[in-house]
Amino acid sequence: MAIAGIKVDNFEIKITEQLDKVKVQWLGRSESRNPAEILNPYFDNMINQLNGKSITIDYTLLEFMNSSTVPPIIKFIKACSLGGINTVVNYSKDLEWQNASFKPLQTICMMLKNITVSAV
Amino acid sequence: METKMQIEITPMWSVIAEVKEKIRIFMEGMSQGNIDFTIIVASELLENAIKYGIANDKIGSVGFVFEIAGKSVLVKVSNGVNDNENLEKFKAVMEKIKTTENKEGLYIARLLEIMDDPSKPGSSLGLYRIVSESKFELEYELDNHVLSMIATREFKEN
Repeated sequence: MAIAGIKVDNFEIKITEQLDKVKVQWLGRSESRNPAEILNPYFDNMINQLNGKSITIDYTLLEFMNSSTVPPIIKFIKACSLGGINTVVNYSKDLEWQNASFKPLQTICMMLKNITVSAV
Repeated sequence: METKMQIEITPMWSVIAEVKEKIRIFMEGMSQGNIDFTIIVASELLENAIKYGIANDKIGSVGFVFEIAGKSVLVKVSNGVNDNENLEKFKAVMEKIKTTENKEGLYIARLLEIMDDPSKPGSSLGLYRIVSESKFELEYELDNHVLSMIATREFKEN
């Protein structure tokens, strides 16, 4: 079964699947009061569908995220690492806010297996 | 460029997006990075005020001040507070921010705590984000159960 995307208000996650590669693209603005309420169960479900696949999590077109979005991101990346899912996380080197937001994430992900975080 | 916006905000989540849009308009002509960082700061402070603030006889809504003077930006958010455990935790976080040179280290330490136990809520993350990612100076005033958060930054260029 194909992995479904999600759209809530001004925020969307779009999924593109090609053979054993899955692209998880974040779009718009994640600014809800409690993003974890929606993102945690959504990603928990996705993890079960990623067996044997590799994923790219693409933030380059994300316009904004509040700090409440960070814990679900970390939880998902950690789950990918523990699940042995090869994961590439991309953020935009051209957006100052993304550089500032994702470099610390890049630092903490260095200790996780199967995870690569890059500015593109 | 000199401009000031001072408004009283109904503590509703949907108002935050409206304020962010106003800031974007006020900062038109400044670099996208400066605008984005300022919006992040305003958003984090307003989110905290709406989540944790209360109405009392001194302040019934959320106060918001936004000022630009040349390359300097100020964001001030005020709300009512109770004397409780959360206020004490907040003061401890602000003391840590004030006395720690390496703000990025503080933020990364908080991210590591979340990674260690993702089920724990990401409390204080917004405050660390303001001083670490957005590089704003952050101070607070507490006067008669009114908490004012004041974030300032002098940008290098417009």
